[in-house]
Amino acid sequence: MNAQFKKGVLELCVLTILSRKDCYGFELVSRISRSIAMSDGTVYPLLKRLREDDLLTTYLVESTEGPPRKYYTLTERGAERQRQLLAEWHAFNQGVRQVIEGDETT
Amino acid sequence: MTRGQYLDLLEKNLSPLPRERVREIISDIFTHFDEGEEAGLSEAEIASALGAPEDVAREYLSMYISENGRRESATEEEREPRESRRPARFWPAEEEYDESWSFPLGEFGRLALELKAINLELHGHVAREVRAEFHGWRAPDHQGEYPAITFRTVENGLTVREEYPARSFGVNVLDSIIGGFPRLRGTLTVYVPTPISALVSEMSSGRQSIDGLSVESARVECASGSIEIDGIRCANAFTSSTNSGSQKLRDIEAGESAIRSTSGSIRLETMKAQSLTIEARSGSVQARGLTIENDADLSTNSGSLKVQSLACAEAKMNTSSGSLNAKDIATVTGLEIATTSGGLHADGVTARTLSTRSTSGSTHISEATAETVTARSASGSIRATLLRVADVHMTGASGSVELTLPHQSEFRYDLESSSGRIVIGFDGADKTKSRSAHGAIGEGTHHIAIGTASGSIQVKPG
Repeated sequence: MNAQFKKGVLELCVLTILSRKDCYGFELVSRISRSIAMSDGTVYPLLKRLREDDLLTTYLVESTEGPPRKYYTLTERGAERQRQLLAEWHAFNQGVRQVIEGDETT
Repeated sequence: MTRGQYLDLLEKNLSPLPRERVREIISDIFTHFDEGEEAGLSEAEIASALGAPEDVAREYLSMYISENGRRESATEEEREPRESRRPARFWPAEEEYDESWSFPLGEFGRLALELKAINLELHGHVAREVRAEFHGWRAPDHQGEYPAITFRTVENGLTVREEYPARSFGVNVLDSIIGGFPRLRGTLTVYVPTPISALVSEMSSGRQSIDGLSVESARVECASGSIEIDGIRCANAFTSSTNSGSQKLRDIEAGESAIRSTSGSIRLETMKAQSLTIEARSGSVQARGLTIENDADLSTNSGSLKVQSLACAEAKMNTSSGSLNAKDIATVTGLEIATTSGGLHADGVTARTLSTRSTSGSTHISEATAETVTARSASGSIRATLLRVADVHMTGASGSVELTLPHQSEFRYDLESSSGRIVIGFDGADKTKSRSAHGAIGEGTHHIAIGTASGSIQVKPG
C-alpha cells in the first residue's frame, strides 16, 4: 500500500487503540504493525509529534522486572481528535465505497 | 543487527537534531528493545521490525523540518498580508558582535566547553574568575533569531555553549544539509583561573588553542577543527583528539596521556608524562623531546611516524603502510618497532632489547646499543650497525641482511641462507661461504644468528 496513504491513517489507528486502553510503546507499535504492514520504527516519530501536539501524554509504571514502563494515554484533546478523525474516516470510507461500487445517483 | 549497533546508527543519523531530542528518541527506542525482549523477541528480530535506522532517523528529521515550516508560515501570515510578503532571506546580513563576561568559578572548578564553528583560545591566568571575550560576527536566521554564547554554572563548574534559539532548528537542519553555514563565527577568548580541577573542551569545526593552563585533568576534542596547545600542566590524565583536524602540541606535562587522530596530523614537541599513547590512522605523526616515565606506544596506520629524542621505560612504534623514523631513543627495557610496507629507520637507539619487524619495507638500524637485537623482515632488506656486540637474531626471506659490528667484537655465529651468499669480514673466519657458516670470533659469549632464504648475509667490522 502507498506509504503516504498509510501515514494518513496511522494517526487514527494510534488514537483509536489508545482510546480503548493505555499502552506501552512496544505493545502499541506491534499492535499496529500486526494489522498494517509498516515498520515499527515509523510509529515512534508519530508518537512524538502527537505528544508535542498535546494529543497524548505519557506516565511511568513501575515494573516488577526491569525498568519502569512508559505508558501512552490520550489527553482530552486526543480523545476529541480521535472522534473527529473517526467520523471523517467513516464519511470518507463511505464515499470511496460509493465510487467503487458505482451506486452514485447522477 | 544488535541493539547497540542499531542505536549507534540511529544516533549518528539523528546528529542534526538538538542533543536533548536525540537523547529522548534514543531512550524511546532503547526501551522498545527492552519491551520487545520481554515479549520474547531477539534483538535482531526487534531491529528488523523497526526498519532501517536511517529510515527511522529520516522520519524524525522530516517531521521536525515540516513542523518548523508549519509554525513559520503561520506566524508570517499573521504578521503580513499575503501580497506584500517578501521572499524569505536565506543568507541574512552579518553583524559585528563583541561581548565580554566574567564569572566566579570556585576553588576547584571545572570548565566544560561545547562549541561549534567559533575559534577558542584558552589562557591560564591568576584571578579566581573566568573572563571571556567574544569578537566576531553573527547572523540571524530568517526569523531574525540570533545565535548566542551561553554560560551556565553546573556542579561547581562552568559550561559554555554556542546555542541557537530552539525555534531556529529548521534552519540548522537546512544548514547542515546545505553545507554547515555557521551563523556565529569569531574567536572566544577565555581566561581560565589556574589551577582548576578539570577542563573538558569539545568543538566541532572551530580551531582551539590553549596556553599556560594548569589543571588536574584535561580532555580536548575537535572534529574538523584543529588543536594547538602551547604549555599545559596536567596532574592526571590528558587526552587530545581530533578527527580530520591537525594537532600541534608543545610543552606538555601530564600523567597518563593519549593523543588520537583519524586523518589529521599530529605534531608533539617537548612532553613529560607518565605514559603516552599516540594513535593516528591516516594522519602523520611527528614527536620530539619526550620523557615518559612508563610506556610509550606510538602508532599510525597509513601515515608516517617520526620520533626524535624519546626517553622512556618501554616503547612500541608501529605503522602499517607509512614510513617509520626513530632517532635518539633510549628505553630502560624494550623497544619494539614494526612496519608493514613502509621503510624503517632507527638511528641512535639504546635499549635492553631492540626488536624490529617489517614485511616489505627495508630496515635500517644505525648506532644501536642493546643487549639483544632481533630483526625480522620478509622481502625487505635489513642493514644494522651496532655500537656494541649483542645477541643478535635476524631473519629475512628474500631481502639481504648486512650486520656491522665494532672491530674488536668477539662472538659465536650461526649464519644460514638457502640460496644467498654469506660473507664474514672478521679476521679468523672463512671469508665467503654458501648455505651456512658456523664458528666463533675470539672468546665471545654473544651469539649472532642470521637466517635468510634467497637474500645474502654479510657480517663485517665497521
